[in-house]
Formats: sequence, C-alpha cells, structure tokens
Amino acid sequence: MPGILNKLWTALRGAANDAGEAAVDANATRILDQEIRDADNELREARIALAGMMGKQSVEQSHLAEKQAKLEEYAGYIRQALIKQKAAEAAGQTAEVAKHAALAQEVAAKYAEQEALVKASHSVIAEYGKNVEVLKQKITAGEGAIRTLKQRADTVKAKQHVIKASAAVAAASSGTNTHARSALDSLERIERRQEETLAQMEAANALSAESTGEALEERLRQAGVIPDASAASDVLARFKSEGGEDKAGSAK
Amino acid sequence: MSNSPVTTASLLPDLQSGQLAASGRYTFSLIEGLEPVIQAVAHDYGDVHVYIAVTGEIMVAQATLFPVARVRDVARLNDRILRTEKLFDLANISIDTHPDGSEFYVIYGALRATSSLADLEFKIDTLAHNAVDAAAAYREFVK
Repeated sequence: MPGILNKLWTALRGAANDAGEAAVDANATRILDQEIRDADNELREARIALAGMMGKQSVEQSHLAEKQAKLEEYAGYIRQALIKQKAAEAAGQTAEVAKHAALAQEVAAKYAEQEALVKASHSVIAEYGKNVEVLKQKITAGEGAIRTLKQRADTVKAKQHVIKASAAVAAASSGTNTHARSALDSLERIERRQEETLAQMEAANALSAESTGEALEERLRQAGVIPDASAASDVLARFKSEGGEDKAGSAK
Repeated sequence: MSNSPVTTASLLPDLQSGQLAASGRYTFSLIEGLEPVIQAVAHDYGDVHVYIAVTGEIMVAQATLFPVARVRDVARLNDRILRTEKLFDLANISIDTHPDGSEFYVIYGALRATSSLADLEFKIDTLAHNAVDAAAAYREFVK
C-alpha cells in the first residue's frame, strides 16, 4: 500500500507549509495516528470483503454440487432411455423405439443446458478464488503498512518523550554549574581531561627526572666522585703538605 | 528479560544490573514525568547524557549534539551531515525542537525494545561514542 506513505508525506508537507518546519515535529504523531487509523479502516474493509467473497465462493460451490447431481441424474435418464430403445429395436417394437429415442433426445438437450450451467459455475468459483487471493494479498500488505506506521509513530513518540525529558533537565540545570551535558560539552570535557592528564604526566616526568638526578648526585657524593663538605679540609691539608714529602698527594 | 512488553520503567532495572553499569562505565537513572525517560551518563565519553525511552515496540536512545542557535552556517553543516552521517554506525542525526521552541542537533538510534539486553546496551554505548565523535566532526561549524 504505497498510497498510505504518500499521504503521510503530503500531510507532513502541508503541516510544514502551514506553520514552518518545526510544525512537522508537533504534527508527526497526530498525522501518523490518523494514517494508522485510515490504514486500519482499509484493512477492516478488506477483511469484510474477504469474508463476503469466501462466503459467496462456498455458496457457489454448494450450487455447483447440486448442478452436478442434476447432471448425473440426466445422464442416468439418457442411459436408461438408450437401453430401452435398444431393447425395443431388438423386439421390433417400432413405436417404442421412436418414443425412447425422442425421450433420450429431450433429456440430452436438458443435459447440454445443465452442462453449460456447471461450466459457468466452475468459472464463477475460479473468479471468486482470484478475488480471494487479491484480498488476502491486500490484507497482508495492509498489515505490513500498519506495522511500519506504528513503528514510526513509536519512534516519533519516544523521541518526543526524550526531547521533553532533556528539555526538563536543561531547564532545571540552567543557571547552575551542572548544566545538561551535550555531546559538544562532553567532547570539551574529554579534551580538558586529556590536557590535564598530559600536564600531569609532564609534571610527573619532570619530577621523577629531578628526583632521579638528586639520587644520582647523592650516590656520586657517597662514592667520593663529587666532592662533599668534608673535601674542603682535605684540600687544605693537601695545600699544607705541599712542598713536603707527599708531592704526589692527590685526593683520596 | 521476560517476554512481557518492555517499558521505559521496566528497562531501568535491567540496565542498572547490566554490564555497562556493573563495569562502572555508565550510571542510569530515571527522569520522572508523565512519560518517564532513562538518563544514562557515559563516564567514558565525557559524561555525555544519553536519554532512553521505550514506546510500543521501539527503544530510542538519543544525545544532544549542540544547539542550532550556535551553528554559524546551518546550510553548510546540514550538507556536511548528509554526506558524513553514514560514518556514525547505527545512528541518525536530526533537528529536534524543545517545548520552548529552541532547536538542537541530536543524534539518535532506534531498535526493537524486545531486543536482548546486550543489544540494547551495545546500542546505547555506540550512541554515546558516536555522539562525542559527531561533536568533534562538526565542531568547526559551531561558534
């Protein structure tokens, strides 16, 4: 039923033209509801038509059975008349022969009429059968269309609930620091966090580098590689002993 | 999940006891109202808010991208969105009007409410991720 969806877009376009694009939102549910009701009415009509058509078909089938019984009856009469005609011929009863032949002729005419009626009945039943198929397809298509429309209506309604709720959160939090968080806010928040994390990591690196430096200096001092406070007296002692016996006196 | 019809209210405890909540990545709560809506806060994605509602057979999960009022060139942004929306799997982008008339670009996804909890959670998580990615993709149009 593509017609249903065409109607929907036409109605939505009408709503948009009348009151601007925003009106589409407001009217979508109402229009979809209307479309579902229309489609449902069509479906109901198709179901009633199907029931009617199937009823007609079954009535015609019982008519056909009657007509076929009648046809069989005529066939029986014809056979009997022919048998009697043959018997009269064998007995040489000319008058009887003529009587049975005439009877057989008369019933054969009736049979031909009845045969035409049976044939007509068959084609009527076949025609009803075609209509039944078409209606069944129409019903299946209508049910599918309604399912689709209902899903759309559900989506639109769910979106409207979501819109109301997010608007309510936005309104409740306006003027406070904890405002409703849009994706853009969150993106900025993520980036701020990343910057903070980066800054923290840099600070931590610098700190750890410094502390490692301190530790190294301390180790070097302990190893006597870097002179410490006590080295000053050593230096003085060295100078004092200069010109003395220990010319080669170097730092310990 | 049982076979009885899913509603927004019946979905909340399922989500609260599901994987997303248990892992601490999401917090779910109910926004009460005539039609209650679930608010999901996605901690992995800058605490972006995802709103979830069930009506009939459909669950919709939606996040606000940014207000239309902050977009410098709506026509150019719309053109960009039409060309790039396919990059955001399982999601659609639309303009929604709040009751006060303000308009927002939003990203949303819909699926059958009778889907498995794992599928619903996947949808919500994908949407939160897509929302932040979409904000990044279209930020240059926002002032």
